[in-house]
Amino acid sequence: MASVVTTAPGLSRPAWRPAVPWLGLATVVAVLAIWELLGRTGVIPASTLPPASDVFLRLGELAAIPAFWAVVWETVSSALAGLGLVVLLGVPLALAIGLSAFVRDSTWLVLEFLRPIPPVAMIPLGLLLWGPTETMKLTLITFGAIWPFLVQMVDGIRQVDQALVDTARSYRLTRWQTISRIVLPSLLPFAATGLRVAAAIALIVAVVTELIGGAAGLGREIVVAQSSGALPQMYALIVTAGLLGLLTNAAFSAAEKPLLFWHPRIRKDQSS
Amino acid sequence: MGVLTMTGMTENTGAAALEVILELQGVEKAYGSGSTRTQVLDGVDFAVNRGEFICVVGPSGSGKTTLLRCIAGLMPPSGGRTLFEGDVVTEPPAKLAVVFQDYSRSLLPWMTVRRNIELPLKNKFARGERAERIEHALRSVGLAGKGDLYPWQMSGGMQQRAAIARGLAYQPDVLLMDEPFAAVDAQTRIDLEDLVLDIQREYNTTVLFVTHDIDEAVYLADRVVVLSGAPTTVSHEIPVDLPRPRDQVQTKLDPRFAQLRTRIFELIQNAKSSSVINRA
Repeated sequence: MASVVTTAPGLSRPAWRPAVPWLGLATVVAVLAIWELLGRTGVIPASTLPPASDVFLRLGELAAIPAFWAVVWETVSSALAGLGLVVLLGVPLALAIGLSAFVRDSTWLVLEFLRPIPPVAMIPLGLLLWGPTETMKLTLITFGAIWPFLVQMVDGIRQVDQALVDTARSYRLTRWQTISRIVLPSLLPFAATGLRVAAAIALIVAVVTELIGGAAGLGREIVVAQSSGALPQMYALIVTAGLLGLLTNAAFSAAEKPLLFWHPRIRKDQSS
Repeated sequence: MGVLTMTGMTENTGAAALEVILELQGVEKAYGSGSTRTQVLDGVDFAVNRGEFICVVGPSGSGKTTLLRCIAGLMPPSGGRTLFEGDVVTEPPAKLAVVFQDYSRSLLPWMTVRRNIELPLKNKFARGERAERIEHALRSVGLAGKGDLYPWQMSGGMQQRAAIARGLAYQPDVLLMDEPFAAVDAQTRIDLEDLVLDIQREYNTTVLFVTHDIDEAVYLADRVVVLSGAPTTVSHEIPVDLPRPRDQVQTKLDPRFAQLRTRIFELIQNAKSSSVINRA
């Protein structure tokens, strides 16, 4: 029997939406104010944490320097390239695993073994193989970020509605029609969730490989700033990394709305 | 129903016009194997004539949906065969359309109702003809002007009308309906029953309608096929000689209506008590 409330597969996100949107912003302001106060009154010495105003002033100065944006782009471009590889490798892999019991059964143990290895633990190996290069960075980003995407996509393929498949078959849709009109749109919410999580991981792994592995980008600049005692600059770079994360999330939200307008969760967002 | 002709199906199925369009010959279906093997269908035999409205009823768990999936070519039977217009069904036949019970899952939420109806027509008709068929089908089910809505912007009854319109526009010789009104409220159900009777006459389609509702079966059908409990066979075929067009009030007041539904009710009760599952 059909239930009236359709469950929404894919698109897992925190169930709460802020009732008062400006409260979140107010908290940010409050935290910055406390940070500033602690710094100015000397409770926290400036040699550990310079006051917020110093950090943001430095961030403002950095924003005027082209070299700063080049560094940001180093990080962002490798994260993006890594995401591209995640999709390129993840889609066929997910299709193979999701559609073939043989592939699924023969790969699950290897994949379950590789999945929990933190990409950071692979940095020594990456350095051995490729040195502190773009290749090392890209490989580790892809390795770290592919899992949430793969898991979501395989799950999505398993959850393609039998009723839709029956409909396609009884109306004799061609294979291409079934894939393009039924399977791919069904997978889209899962791909969106998988990519959103993968993007966050890609950014983290990018910064970490720069930080530990010494590849060019925000992470390496953070280490350089720290070792040269340029603390406001170090924090300004950390703040930049945080802002990049926020931006990524916002970009995904904006892209989801027009693509998934039909999805129960997006529908609800728009009607409320 | 007033605007439609008074030609009833009983006249169309007169002796000379009898032509078997769908024939089940000893259809069997079993799930699993070895000790876990369950025989669901145990040799189902019946035939449907062109233009007939057949309702299939049976106790719950009698494999009605399994039977329908075998007829629709969505599932191979483990024994016996189904003939559709003389050919053995091995895949979904081109001149057969299915309206599923779960309309909310069989319509694509990312397409408007018009696109949903159009998708199966793309391999059959040219663009201009498609547009015409879609509008005609939408009018027939009372959804004229609603083609640009998405399914989820509609009520359950409207969604099922859209699913019926998709079946109609496909212009099948046989329309299979799997408990299509099981999920809508009583008032909508009555409207949709009359709608199906109207469009069956308008399109002169053969309808095979699976339901668990005896009143609905007697009200709609020319003949009711009563299934036994699992493992399922055809226990009886009951001709319904009520005059057409049927009317929700007049038809149901007819003493023969009461007799028929009592008869079928008893048959199903007997089938239930003799079912292997219930004896176990």
